Amino acid sequence: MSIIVVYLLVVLAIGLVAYRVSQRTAEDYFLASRTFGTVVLLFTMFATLLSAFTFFGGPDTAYVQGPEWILVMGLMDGLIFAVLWYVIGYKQWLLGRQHDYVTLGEMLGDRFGSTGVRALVAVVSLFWLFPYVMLQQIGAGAAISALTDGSVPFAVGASLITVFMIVYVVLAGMRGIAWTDTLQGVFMLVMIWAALLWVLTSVGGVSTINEGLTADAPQYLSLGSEFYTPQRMLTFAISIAIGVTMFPQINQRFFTAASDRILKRSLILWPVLVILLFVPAFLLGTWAVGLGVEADIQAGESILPIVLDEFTPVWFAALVIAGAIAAMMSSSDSMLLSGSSYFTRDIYRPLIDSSISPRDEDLLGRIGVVVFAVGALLATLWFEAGGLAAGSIGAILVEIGDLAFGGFAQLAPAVVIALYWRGVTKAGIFAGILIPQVIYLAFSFIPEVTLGSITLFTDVYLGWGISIYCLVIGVFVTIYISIQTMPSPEENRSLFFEDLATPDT
Amino acid sequence: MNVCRSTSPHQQDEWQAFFERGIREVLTMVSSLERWLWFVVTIAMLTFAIPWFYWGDDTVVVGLPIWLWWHIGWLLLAALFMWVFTRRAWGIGITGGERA
Repeated sequence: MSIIVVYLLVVLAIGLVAYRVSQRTAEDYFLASRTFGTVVLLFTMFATLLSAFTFFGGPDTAYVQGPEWILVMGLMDGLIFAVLWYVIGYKQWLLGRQHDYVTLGEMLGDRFGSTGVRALVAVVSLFWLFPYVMLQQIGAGAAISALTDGSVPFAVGASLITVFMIVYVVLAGMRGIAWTDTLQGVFMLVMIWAALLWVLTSVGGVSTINEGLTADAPQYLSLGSEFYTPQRMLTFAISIAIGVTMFPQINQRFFTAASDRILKRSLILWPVLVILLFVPAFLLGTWAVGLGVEADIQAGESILPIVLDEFTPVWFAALVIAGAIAAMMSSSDSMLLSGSSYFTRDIYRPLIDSSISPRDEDLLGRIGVVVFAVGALLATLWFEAGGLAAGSIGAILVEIGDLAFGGFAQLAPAVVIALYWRGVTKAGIFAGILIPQVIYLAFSFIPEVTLGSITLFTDVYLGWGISIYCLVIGVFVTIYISIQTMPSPEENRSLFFEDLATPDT
Repeated sequence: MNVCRSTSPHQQDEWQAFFERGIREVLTMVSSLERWLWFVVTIAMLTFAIPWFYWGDDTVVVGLPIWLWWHIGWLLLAALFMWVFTRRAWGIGITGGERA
């Protein structure tokens, strides 16, 4: 516990420094004035992407289902995301620099001359972001109450963490968050490799582990299983990677690179970084099986802390767990900040008060952080008091997390088509965003109905998740409605094409 | 361009224009071919990150399943691919991909 406190103090100190050097404008608060260098950009993107999943949910999945999870994450984050970073992110970066966009909604609203499009993107994003922030608070509350053996109850733990995050995010803004992301990213990278080597040396090498695996779970060494079907692996990889690019905190980071050259360098290093972190983290989960370490994932235990407890000194295990909790918080920090920016920039400013000054918008952004965080906390506490089913943190993370990723992914088809095809109309993008969302929600939440030989509202068809089908529907709806409708006069059709300024490298 | 010294100044201009047009055509042909090539290579890069041909294979090499080694090697290769892409073709499909 004292390690966590020290950790938090360090983080706070960084936040204060960031506050001192920042300017009081919305662009600086939300985007650090687009000044990130390679290392900071790489690690803030990375740390934001990871959240608690890498250290709890991921190793748990590799423990229960086998190490194929590494392939899913490698394809998802290492490759598909990198390609999308170029396809969506680079173009967004160029446009953002040229027109001072701070959010995705702002960019699309400008292209289609429509406050409605702008607000729709923000509302859909906030709809998915809110439960995701709750998820992080539930995770943090549970982790703290577990660490203190219940002497700090869930509600107190979750509230403390939330208050700390509010103070931190209000002060630090994007610059401070990115700095701590960098620190945490480097720290966790070192720690996870140290953990791996520690386990290896204390059990006498990988052959012991593999003997255990061959005896207890020989299927873990062969590629594929009943769980890891090609369809399921690809559904996860594709829909989460696409979803990630539309997550506000990730999408907004597309705007933050200082130059073309920094983007290039980041993209080159990206797959290497992904391999460096995921391979050791998830291998530890799988190796636990070979070493006979047991965790009751169903009952809420997580495998990584148990493995560390078994094979490494207490102080080391505590450091890693503190780092993991810090990673969880840093993701929430970024979410709060981007949630607030979507609200102030795309809902408050265009709909309520468009004459707001940059300085007031900066202030409003900070207030937005408080409102968003407190709202999510109240919902979390209410939810928990109502008796959240006692499932594992990991399982819940995967489940709700995946639903939100799929939901965000549904924004992507319309956005990508609008970025690359000038024929998209206002009605086209509206329908292309709204219709897949409605279908995805219906199939995710309405109970299954069987009509003759067809089952409606289930979430998998022919092995493929419903999010994949919705993506395809999104493509067709956007194109079809755009062809069927006339562009409205306030649209700016050349904005993403002829008017795009080339970078001055 | 002093390719045809014996021709009149007028003819020389025509030759020059012809050559330049030819060079331009060859260059655009190469770059549009190259664009397709980058597209195909990208798809291949995504397709074989999971070694489908090792499906069900449980060979262990130096402590790890062979398919995991493939994946690790593949992502390192992807980094190399990115490096070549950023040097040669950066901007393709977005700003036209002119080489700086």
